[in-house]
Amino acid sequence: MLSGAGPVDAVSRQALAFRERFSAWGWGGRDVAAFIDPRAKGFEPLRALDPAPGDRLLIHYSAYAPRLRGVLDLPNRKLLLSHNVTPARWLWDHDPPIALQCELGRRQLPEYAARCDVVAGVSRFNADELGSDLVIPPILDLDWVRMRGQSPHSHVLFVGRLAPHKRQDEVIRAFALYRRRHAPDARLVLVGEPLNDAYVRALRDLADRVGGVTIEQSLSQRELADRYERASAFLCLSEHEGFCLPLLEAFAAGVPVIARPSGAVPETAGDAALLSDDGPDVIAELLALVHSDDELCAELTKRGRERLKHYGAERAAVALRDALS
Amino acid sequence: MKPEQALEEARRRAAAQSDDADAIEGLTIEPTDRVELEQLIEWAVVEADPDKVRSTRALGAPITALKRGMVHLTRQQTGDLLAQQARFNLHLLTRVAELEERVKRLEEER
Repeated sequence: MLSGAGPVDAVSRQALAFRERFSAWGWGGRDVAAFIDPRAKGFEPLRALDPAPGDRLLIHYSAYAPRLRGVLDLPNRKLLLSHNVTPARWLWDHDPPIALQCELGRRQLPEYAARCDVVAGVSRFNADELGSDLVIPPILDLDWVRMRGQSPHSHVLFVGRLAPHKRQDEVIRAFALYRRRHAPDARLVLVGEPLNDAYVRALRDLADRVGGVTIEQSLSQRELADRYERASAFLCLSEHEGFCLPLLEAFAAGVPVIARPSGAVPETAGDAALLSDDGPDVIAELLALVHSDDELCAELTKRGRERLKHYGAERAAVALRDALS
Repeated sequence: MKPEQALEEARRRAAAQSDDADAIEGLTIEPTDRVELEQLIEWAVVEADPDKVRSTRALGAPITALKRGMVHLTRQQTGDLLAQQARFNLHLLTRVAELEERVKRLEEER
């Protein structure tokens, strides 16, 4: 069960990856969502849920889900998997309805967790928030990611929802300093689905002042692979992350990563990224270092490859199976 | 250079620079932690943005037109509802502001 199913979001992709495993294990069942984006495939409406007495229910919790409340009354064994909910403080000024949903979602989560038999998080950070020690990491398929090629210019990349808490504004400012001081030909590519039109307009306005910035949305997997292949650095200054899958995509592409150590980022990145909570002036210099210091770049790439081993699909599948058994 | 040395080196180099990212005007994100009364009053008067009435489907132009037409046709009723909600919000805020002032006064008297 999902509160909402979309075409490209990490939670929907996880639900479909889980479904592949369930099918491989000979398990039946279906994936239902309270809200389904018309572009999302593989999900049925919540009303299609009709569990038999012995069936187990898996709730992917990532947003306010009042319509899932009825599910909690069912006698079936229930597993709640928290993907985390963005704190509303980042959204009140930019999208009040979404902020309200986040606020309610964060308040509702402990209640839902208390009424489920097993509670887990996709990261230790998420599990800790609910007083659980059970982590079911995402089942990753990163075969589509291509190794980065050699580019004569710096290509800085960030992949994540175009939303305030992802702090694309600060990414743009750090990039602007890096471009001004060190690499006039540098490019920045921001990829993500927009929170709303007004926010993207404001972001585009900021990007236009700086120059060299491209904002892209609704990319296919092949197009996203192309962006990773061209990237020379991945820069994530997000203020809140429940897992941060793009970090691992960057590792898979051999792209050095600079990130703010917020939420689950330190746990996901391990020692394979340059973590800094400093302002744009320091981040700009970190960008310069990863582009000029071959030893640093090679070591980060090597550590990224090592870090991916920690997130092997089989290991995650075993954790999932154990939690549902 | 080892990754463990990079941050200190970046800080050292940044300290030697003179330009500043804050000089770039435009969108700057700040979290909303403590909402002031003036901001609450602004939010209390609900105003729907007509640009947000739209369809997100691939060929959604006719649906957008239909939705906007319906908003227009029901504007009397929705306008009345919004006015009632704003009246409640503003009166409630006034009470909260009065209570806040009273608590402050009592604390000063103690």
